[in-house]
Amino acid sequence: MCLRIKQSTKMEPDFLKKAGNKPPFEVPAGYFKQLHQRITEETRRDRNALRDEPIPVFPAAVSENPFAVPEGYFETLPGQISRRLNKQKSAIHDRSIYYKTAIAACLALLLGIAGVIQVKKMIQADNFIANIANFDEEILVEEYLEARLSATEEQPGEMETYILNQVDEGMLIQEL
Amino acid sequence: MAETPDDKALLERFRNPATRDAAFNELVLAYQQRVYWHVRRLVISHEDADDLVQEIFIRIWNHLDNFRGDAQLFTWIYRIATNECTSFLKRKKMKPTVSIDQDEGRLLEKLREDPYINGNELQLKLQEAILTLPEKQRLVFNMRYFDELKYDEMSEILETSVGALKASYHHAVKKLEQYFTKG
Repeated sequence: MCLRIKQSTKMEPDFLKKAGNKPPFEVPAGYFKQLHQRITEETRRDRNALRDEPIPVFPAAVSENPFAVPEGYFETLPGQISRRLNKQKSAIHDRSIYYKTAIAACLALLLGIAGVIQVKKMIQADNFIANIANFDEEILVEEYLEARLSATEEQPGEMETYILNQVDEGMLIQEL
Repeated sequence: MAETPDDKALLERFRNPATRDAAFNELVLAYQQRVYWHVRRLVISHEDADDLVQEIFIRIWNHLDNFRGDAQLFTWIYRIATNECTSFLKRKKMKPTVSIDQDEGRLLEKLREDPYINGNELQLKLQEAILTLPEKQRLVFNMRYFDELKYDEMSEILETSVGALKASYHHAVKKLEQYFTKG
């Protein structure tokens, strides 16, 4: 290899030696810096063209996200979600206990009200009977006489004998 | 980004009460970044994105039992995330003091003021341009350009035809080009 290089140097004409091996061409400033970006952009344009879509004019770099998140955000996010879920679960649990208690209380209240109404009705009925205004003397007399008559049916004339013995004869005659 | 786990096995473990928590934790680890970046690009602020991501995963926890497996798990998760973001943005718009212009301005303000933004000028300019798009076009552009989702996947997530999505993307790109060329 070294021998071949030496030979080619030997064979190089003078004008080539004078011109040197540096090309006369130049590139615009910052060209190579932009080249990668431009190639990426072009390939993206091609991909879009294949998709039969309009080609956005903005450079490829723009498709990157300008947004940031606080450090370690995605490590803490599952924990935050889990905490909120637990809160929700306990809220549902509390709510179900609350509803159960409320339903039990309502039932107890209804039973209580029904009991009070029943007792009131009974008291009203008792009061009706006990009320002197509702006392019917005729019924009482009738009942008494029925009982008395049925008992005296076996001994006819007892009442008459009693009346004759107890009431003054003159007064009786006057009354008759 | 974490690797996508074997969805079927993961779902089976989630349905088993003994392995439910571990399976869900695995799911969070696998999808948290994809969900976060999707949400972040839509709501811009880290604080809002953080809150929404947590809500999205809680919603996933509550409804994963109902997931029938007709679609891919990740498209189902994306759909939940997208719906949550859309509702969030609507809620913000519905505030009586916020007009449509004010809403766009609010997001721009967040883009300029959020402490967790470190992109270069060009990246920020693109984000500003994206914020000028109508919501649906913004969504389609983000999913196609940044998340590199396929149209049929997007169609499943957004429940829109592939043709309509292509048209949305086309309009979005044209508007962004105009924004860039006008300077």
